[in-house]
Formats: sequence, structure tokens, C-alpha cells
Amino acid sequence: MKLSRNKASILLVFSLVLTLKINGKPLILQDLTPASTFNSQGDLIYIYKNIDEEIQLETLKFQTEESFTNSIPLGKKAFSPIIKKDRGGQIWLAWEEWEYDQSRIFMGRLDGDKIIHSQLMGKKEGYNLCPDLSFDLHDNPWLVWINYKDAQYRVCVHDTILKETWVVNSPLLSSAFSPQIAVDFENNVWVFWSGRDKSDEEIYCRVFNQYTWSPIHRITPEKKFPQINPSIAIDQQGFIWLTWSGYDGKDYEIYCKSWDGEKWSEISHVTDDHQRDDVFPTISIAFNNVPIIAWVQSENEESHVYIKFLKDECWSEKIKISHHRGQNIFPQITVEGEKIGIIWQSQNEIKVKFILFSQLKEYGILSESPLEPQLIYNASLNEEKYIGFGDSITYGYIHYEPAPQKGYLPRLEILLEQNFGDTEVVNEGWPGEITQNGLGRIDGVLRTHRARYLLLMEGTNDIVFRRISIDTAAFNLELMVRKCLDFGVFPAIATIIPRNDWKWQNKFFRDRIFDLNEKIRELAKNSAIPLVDQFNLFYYYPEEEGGWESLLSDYNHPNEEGYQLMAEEWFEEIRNFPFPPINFLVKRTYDEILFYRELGNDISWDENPKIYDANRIEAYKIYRKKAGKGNDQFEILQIIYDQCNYFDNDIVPSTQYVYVVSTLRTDKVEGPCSEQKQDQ
Amino acid sequence: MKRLSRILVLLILLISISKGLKAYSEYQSLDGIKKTYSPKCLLQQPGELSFEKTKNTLIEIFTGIYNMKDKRFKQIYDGYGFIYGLSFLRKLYNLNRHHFYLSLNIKSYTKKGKSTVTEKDTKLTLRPISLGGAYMFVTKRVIPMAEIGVDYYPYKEKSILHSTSGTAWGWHLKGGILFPLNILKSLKGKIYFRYSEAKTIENDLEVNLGGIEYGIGMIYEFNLF
Repeated sequence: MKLSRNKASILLVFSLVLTLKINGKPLILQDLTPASTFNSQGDLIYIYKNIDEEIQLETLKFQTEESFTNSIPLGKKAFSPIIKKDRGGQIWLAWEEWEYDQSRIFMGRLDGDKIIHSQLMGKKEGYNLCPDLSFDLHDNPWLVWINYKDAQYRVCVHDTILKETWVVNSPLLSSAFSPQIAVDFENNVWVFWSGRDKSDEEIYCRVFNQYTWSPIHRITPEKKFPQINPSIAIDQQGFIWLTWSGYDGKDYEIYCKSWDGEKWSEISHVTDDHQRDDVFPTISIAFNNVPIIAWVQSENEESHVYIKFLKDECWSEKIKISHHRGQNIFPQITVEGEKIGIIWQSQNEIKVKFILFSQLKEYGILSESPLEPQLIYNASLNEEKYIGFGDSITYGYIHYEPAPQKGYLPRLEILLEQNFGDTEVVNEGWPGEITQNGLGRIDGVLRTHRARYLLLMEGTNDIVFRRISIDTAAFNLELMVRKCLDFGVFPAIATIIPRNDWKWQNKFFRDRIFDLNEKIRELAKNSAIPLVDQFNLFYYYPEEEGGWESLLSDYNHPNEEGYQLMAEEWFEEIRNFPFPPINFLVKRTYDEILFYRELGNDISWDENPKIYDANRIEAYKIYRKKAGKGNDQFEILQIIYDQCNYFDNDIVPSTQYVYVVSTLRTDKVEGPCSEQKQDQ
Repeated sequence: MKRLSRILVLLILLISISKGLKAYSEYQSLDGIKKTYSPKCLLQQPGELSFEKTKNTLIEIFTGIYNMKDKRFKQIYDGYGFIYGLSFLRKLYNLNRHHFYLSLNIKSYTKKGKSTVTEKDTKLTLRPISLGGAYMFVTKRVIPMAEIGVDYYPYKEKSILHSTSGTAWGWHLKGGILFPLNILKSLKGKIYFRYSEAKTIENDLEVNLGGIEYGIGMIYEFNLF
């Protein structure tokens, strides 16, 4: 059943969308997402940390739309609070408390706006973060979190009755994120996390039957792509449902699996569109044992929250929940009876939406026709156009105020115009953007601007989101690079600059910055794209000139001097881009001696005069395809050293061929191809 | 080195010819005064040097410039090149001043070039053998000559692109003038012009190995049998 647009709008009228703002300030800190549940009165409650660094508990009545806000006295060191309801209806909290050289996990029960029985969970040294909470059949809390120490990530599970803590992910300690815990109806404690064994992240699981732990079980099939963001729920029969986001070679999709008491089901594809990235899934079970999944779908410059439910063993059409432009991320779905509460973060605000399950069943199909894939040849891109792609640093912020005219992009444009003539640099910096959003946005940016070059600098915001692993951020950057290359756009990537806030003082976050930059350097090397090491430019700025701190205007953003340095650093790399050869010609002719002649295509070109240091050109690569074939049919024909022509004699006389040629730098960075030429 | 030796041979021939011409144009008149022929009188005034008594065998070395007619040859081998060779002429018959010879000559021609597009090195070698009948009109001073004959062209072209060898048949017309040299009574100089045709087909390509040749030679005459 498909829903018409009118019916879809009726659905929107029925549903209640609330945006919470106080005195115009965003309610939520950028790096902290809200957690929600229904209380025993059937009201949706959610907890978050606001911009004044206070922990707030919001209660939202479904019928009357009234909301009440209470401050929870947890202090400014508290972060990432989560709330869970036990089987008896009591509300429990767990949160992180951060200090200079460590962070710890605390747990307590909520009584009104007071926390009672607050206690420190585990005493592990290092950084303890990302807690999750569940309750056994006796309503005893079980806690899971990540401990980071000595560059190792441990998934810690704590039994609050026995006061015992287990590290369940050993020996896979190189990476662990997004731990989830649930207790089934047989009192088995299920723990899930995303972690890395060999290459990319996978979803792992262990089960504790109150006596022993099961071996580590990899839930996701071994793929060469990351599988991340697990979310779990217990259905009314006590069985586990698991959803996660995984990359399938083309984009991120949402997957689901369930446990029937004996075995895991086959993987179910919740999304499978190959065009939009689907991430951050969250699952809950409706009253009639129907799993509902909410997630974020990124497309072009926006990301939106969608839900699907399972009906007759098939996933429904997706239902768009968020209708606010911009980035809508990190949804949480909570179901109680027929009531479905969805809460998410939108541009530093909290959005909440109530839907009745009956409404879903009645109107719940809102399909959107997928975009037709565009086949665009790279020769149509503008050679004199550059896209600056990234977050607020790319956009241009000074003293936390927008200043795009003072950022590095306009300064770079001046340098390029002085040296290359008429040049356009497009500002595609999106303040607050994480790589996940960038990944969803980049396709639209590439299509819109049709620039030949893209300067990628993103990841600063991923650092502060503890639920985003550095591997995931690096992978997203890699995907963005791949999308550029697939589109015929030549990307260059920059490391992220150091920050001067409390997070920099904190080893956990500082390590994340160093780790991400190291991965960006590896990415540039492995993808053979130019690297602009903005981090090193800042980090090694001479102390006698004020050190790198003097280049920042606030905690995160450079000042004008910093932006000027960044622009010059970009320019130094750009002037040695392997620009495509010019005067590219292909002519069908004979190569003759007196008694023999050979038919072939005489290919010639000239070095691009924009290349500053010609010594960095190692060779030229010629690609060929048959005329009339798609651009994916181009194949490498020859690498040419020390000359600017080639005679292709490996041809079928009756066939016409199309050629492109690119410049190869001595560091193996290959530039964009020239315009294509067909033999004549 | 080969080029040098060719130039040396050419120089020797030129010097010999110039000395011969000088000797021929200077003669001792009956009044004992040394006189010089003008070019005009050279043709009109028979000198005392007898040129009528020729021997029955002539052997000749010659060098010249060979300009192949084929258009593609010009692109690949950059125009003309030097050719040199050896001729044997045997008198068959003579009637007063009309002398008829059987002519046999072997030539050698080598030229380096580059393919038209990729500029790969290539080398063409010709070793033409010609058999012809020559006619000479013997006067006291010069001997105009004409020749017609058939040519057999063994050829070889060597290149990374492709190597070919083969043979071709052709014909030629030749004209020239013999004149005495004062170095040795039996030596004569010669200037000549030659036109030839020799078409062949290789690899579906028709090639004309013939062309225009002009050069100089030195002839030694003697009686054999």
C-alpha cells in the first residue's frame, strides 16, 4: 500500500513534533545526544546536557503536549547521561564524569528530580565512556561501557549485585565502540559492541548465562567494509533483535537480525537503495511484537530520520519523520504500548515526535521515488573551479561567529587567481558537520557545482562524538574520497587542526585527533591523493611566534592569521596538482617505413603549464575505451615516461576508440583525466 | 667513416676531372704559344689529344646522388642519398666513331631514416645490379654516351617496426659524357645522369625503387683479350 502525499500530510498533522528551545539557545551540546524512555505514567521523558552544561530531564505528556523541565544535579563533569526503565517502572540513570586524566561511569536511580543510590561503577583506570544499562529478571542493573587505556579499548560489563566486572572483548582490544546490553527472559545477559578484529569494524556479541560467558561471536558476516552502530531490543517473547548499519560497497545500509532462542535469523535488509547512506539505527518493539527501526538517511545536504516496521516478515515502506531542513541525526526510538516516541538531534536542538502505531499501520507508507542515477562524464567538470568541503573551519568561523569571507577559502581563491587566472572556489563548509553527514551531502555537492577539484577537510566534530569511532570517521572520509574519484573530481585531503579546549587537554580526545590525522595521512597515501597536513602546520608553528595556540581565534577555529596560513598551505599543494595535460589530440594514421606501415592512433598532448614544478611529473597515463561505450569501460592503455605522445597500434581498424590522458606525479598521485578524444 | 670515404672518393674524382679538363683546355699551338680553349672553342676546336682510339674494356668506379621517386621514401628517408658502384663495359662493336658496349654494374646504396609517426629507426639497403647496352660516340675530346638496360634490385629494410627483404626488377636510361684526364692516358672522367624505374609490392604497399641519379665516375680503359 502506498500513501499519497495528502495522506502523508495528514500523518504529519496527527503526529506531534516539538522543538525545544529556551531563550533562543540551543538546548543541547553538540557532542551529546539525548536519551529517552516512557515513564510509568506513559509520558516520554528524556535527558540531555544543555549548552549551559546542566543535565536536564524533560517530561513530555503525550495527550496534552505539556512539557516540564527539571534540572538533575549532576555537576558540570557529567556527560552522556542515559536513562532506562527497569521492569518495575523505576527510572535509572548512568553517566560519565570527566576529569583531566580520566573519566568514570556512575549510575543511580531517579526519584523525582533527585538521584538516589548514586554509585561509581567499576574503578578501572583510564577513560570510561559510552555506558548502557539493562536489568535482569530481578531488576538488578547490569552495566556495560568502554574503558580506554594504553591505546586499548575494553568492553566492560558490571554486575551491580556481585560487584564484579568482566572485560568481554579480549583479545580484540584494538577497537570497541557502541556497547549495548540487554537481558532476555531466561536471564541471559547479552552484550554487543562494534569492534575490529582484522580490518574493518564488525558487530560482536557475548552472552552471560549467570555462570559463564559464551565465546565471542561475530554477528555480522565477515566483510571488508565496516559494520557499526549496533542497537538492540527484547521482544515480548524475550528474544533479542539487533539492528546495525553496514557499508555494502556502495553506501551504508541498515540491517537487522533476530535470535529465536536457538539460532540467529538470516540478515534482513531494512534498507537497500544504493544511493543514500543509512546510519544510526535504533530499534524498539511495539506492543504487538512488531519491531520498529528508526534511522538517519543522508542525502545531498540534508539528513532525515525515517522509520520502518516489520509487517508480515517484510519491512514496510520508509516513513519520513523529520521535516526540518539540515542535519537530523542520532535518533532514539521508544515504544510503549501503541505510543511511539522518536527523539533526535537537529542542528543542536532536540526534536521529538509522537506517533501512534495505528497511525503507522493506516498511513504508514510514504515512499519516495529514488533518484535516477546520473551518468556524468568528468570532462564536463569545470577545470577552474574548486570546492572547499568540510565543517565550520572550512566555512569560516572566527570567535564562534560565522566569518566565511575571512576563512581560508576566499584567501585561497585570491592566490589561485593570481597564479592561474580566473578561478572559483566554492564554500561548502557546513558548521557542526560530522563525516557521516558529509558523506550524505557530498553527492549533491559534486552534482551541483561540477567542479574539477575538491578540498576535503573534515573530522573535527567526529572527535567529540564518543559514539563515533575513529575508524568510522576515517572510513567515511575514504568514502567521500572515493565518491569524488568516481565522479571525476580530484580530491585533496587535509588533516584536522589541533583544538585548544578541555578536550585537547584530555588524553582520550587528544589521542582521537592524533589517530584520525594518522588515518587521514594513510588514506591520502593509499588513495594516492594529495595531502595537506594542516595539523602539522599548526602544531609545529614556532613557539617564538606564539605557537599554534596563537593561530586560533577560539577553542576550535583559526583566527585570520591561521586561515591565511591554511590558504597558503593549500595553495602550495594545489600548484603542484597533477593537472590534466592540454592540447590533447588523437589522430588515426599510419606509422610508415618504406615497405611496411602500421595503422594506429597517434596520441599527443602538452604538459599543463599550471604545474609549478615539472620535475614532479613522472609520467602520463593513457586510458582507452571503445567509442560508444560507457565511461566505466575505460582501461589503462599505457604509461608514458619522458614524452608527450604515443602511437596506439593495438587497434581493430574497423573500431573507433576514445582516449583520455592523465598526469602521474612522482609520488604516484594521479591527476584528473583530460577531456576525451575520439580517433578520427 | 663511410661517409668520409665517400667524400674522399668524390674529392679525388673531382680533382682528377678538373685537372683533366684543364689539361684538355690548354694545348701547345703550332707557333709554340700556350693557348687556352674557351668553353665554346672547347667544343669547336679539336685538340691534339686523340680520343678516338678507345680500348675494348672499361672499368669504372662512380659515385652519385640518388633521389628515389617514391613520395613515402622522401618522408621516411629525408630525400636523396649517396650511391656508389662499379661498372664493367665490354666493347661489342664499333663503326667509325660509333661504339657499342655491354654494360654491367653493381651499386650500393644505404640510407637511414625514421618511421613517419613513432620515429623508429629504419635502414634501407639497395644493391642494384644492372645489365645494359651502351652506345658511345667517340670524338677527339669528349665521348657522349647513352645506355639502356634492365635492373635487378635486391633490397632490405630493417626496423623495429618491421623488417623486409626482397628483390625487384626495373629498367633504366642513362646518359653521360666521358672526357680524358691527364693523370694517366687510360683514365677518363665521366659525368652522368640516370633515370630508372623499379616497382615492387611488399605488404600491400607499392614501392618504386627507381629514381633519378646523377654523379661522376672515373674510367680506366684497357684491352682484355
